[in-house]
Amino acid sequence: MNGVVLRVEGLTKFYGPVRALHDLTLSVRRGEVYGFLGPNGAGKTTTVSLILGLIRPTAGRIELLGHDTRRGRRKVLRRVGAIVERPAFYPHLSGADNLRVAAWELGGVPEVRITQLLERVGLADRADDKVKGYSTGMVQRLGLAAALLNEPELLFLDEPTSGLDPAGQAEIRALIRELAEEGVTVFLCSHLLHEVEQVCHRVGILNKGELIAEGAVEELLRRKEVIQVRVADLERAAALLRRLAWVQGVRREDDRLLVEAPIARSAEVNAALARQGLYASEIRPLETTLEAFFLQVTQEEADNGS
Amino acid sequence: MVRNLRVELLKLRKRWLSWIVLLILVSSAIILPGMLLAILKMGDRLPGAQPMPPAIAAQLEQALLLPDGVGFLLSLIGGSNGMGMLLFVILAGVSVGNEYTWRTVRASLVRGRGRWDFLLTKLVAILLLMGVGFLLTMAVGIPYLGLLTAASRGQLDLSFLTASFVGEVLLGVLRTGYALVPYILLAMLLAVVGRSPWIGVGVTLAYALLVEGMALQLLVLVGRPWSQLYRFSLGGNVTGLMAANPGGQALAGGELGGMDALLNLPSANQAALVLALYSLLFLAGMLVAFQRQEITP
Repeated sequence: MNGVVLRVEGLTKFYGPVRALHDLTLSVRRGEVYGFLGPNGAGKTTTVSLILGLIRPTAGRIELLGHDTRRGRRKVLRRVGAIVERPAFYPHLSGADNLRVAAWELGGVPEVRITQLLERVGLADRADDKVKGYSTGMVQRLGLAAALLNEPELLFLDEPTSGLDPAGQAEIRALIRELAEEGVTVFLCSHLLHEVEQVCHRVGILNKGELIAEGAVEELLRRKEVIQVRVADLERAAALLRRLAWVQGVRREDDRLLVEAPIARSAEVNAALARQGLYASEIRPLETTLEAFFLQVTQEEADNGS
Repeated sequence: MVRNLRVELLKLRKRWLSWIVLLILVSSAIILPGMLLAILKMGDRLPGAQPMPPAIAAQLEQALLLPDGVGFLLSLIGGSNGMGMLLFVILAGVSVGNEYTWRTVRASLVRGRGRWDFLLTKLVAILLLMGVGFLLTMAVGIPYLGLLTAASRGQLDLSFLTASFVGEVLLGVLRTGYALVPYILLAMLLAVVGRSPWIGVGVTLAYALLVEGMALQLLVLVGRPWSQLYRFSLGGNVTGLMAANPGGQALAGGELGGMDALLNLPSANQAALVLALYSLLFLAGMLVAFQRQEITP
């Protein structure tokens, strides 16, 4: 992984008085799978639409595959594949004809590539059927095939597993991993956190148009290390632990305390409690998932906002 | 451009609407003259019919049969409220508007297709289909009128069939197609601005059939200056241009022209210029609107 294929600086978008995106800065490195997370309405599709030139930014700069998109965007887009929001096709054309339309628009795509991709996404036997008869999952697969026609260097996927059954979702995730191994950079917009956790190297979390966290998945999870403590007198224990300089926060959840502190200091937590006659029945690191991290940071943002 | 024209032609070729448009156009060239001639022949034998003055009946018959019938065919496929206008406005509005409703416009632009290229190739594809439709209609309609002429007059005098007549017919087809371009562009412009096929088709047809076809023509009865408005409308200039077609004078300005005869229509050259200005205006409006448009989810 070297070189930056996408660099966004200070990207801002207003729709009239409504701020959809505020001062977004991020970069995606060649060969990585970048997860772009956010609740519905966070600004994920707006960001992708801005990068691909479907809408104009109010402010900010976008560099795509080393080119400033204010000049020569069309040429650069020929090296990019994308599904924005949902795949869109002509319902009266067959799957193969829809890919043919896409291939002709891109230019330089051999006919054999259409057949290969239809096979790769499992639609070879339905290639001549009209798209209006396809299921949501089939349309999603055809969308992926269309996005891969030009063997893109950078692939934008917006909720690519939406509408697929669990087996189909697993296949798409496997395909994304394969593409990453082949050197394709993937920018994956999703609200399915387990999906992102499974396939992404780095993630950015967008909330209300602002990037609130960004980094490698493991690094982000480390940022929110939590020790779970069970003790008889929860109130006293919480007050005591809050006084420790290296404890970032303590909250009560049912019959336990969740202590935000480095896992490596679990023994010191135990010792501090014991010195005050509080004997813990259980002290163990709490496994933080990306989902828990996501919910926590978006909640913190909401609390700060209010 | 050529590559993308291939894309647009594939989309049109694989669409039922294109074939329906061609079918209606060609079949109307068979059904309408035959039906009108039958009504004319049956004359006052029809229940409740008033006897038609023989001079008018003869003039009508002449307008339907060869060689003047070519003008009738051209006014059928073209004209400000002809079948061709109706069909190609629908095809143009739907072709552009559906790109929004199907969200395929977004997919095309994301593949690096230029915005102007997107609309211009679509326009060229529609005009090519229109050209094919018109030539096909004439190729079917003229021999059919020949049969009707032979059946009606007992013989078919082909002395009119000279090189200059064929040239006039081809020029008439070109003139008729040219006259429809502003309507097609208006439908495309409105479909782009409204991001919907129904706005493109509905507003254009409402304008052509209600505003031009009725309101502006009725203003003629009010007197100047209102009576002059029709002269500057699309319809007024289309009718002025179509009058230059073979047999067109009889339909547009003669006794059969009805209201048109009262309208003091512009000359063919003047009309061609005004229609070019309308076309440029709609084309520029469409390209600028699309270039500035944000393609939102």
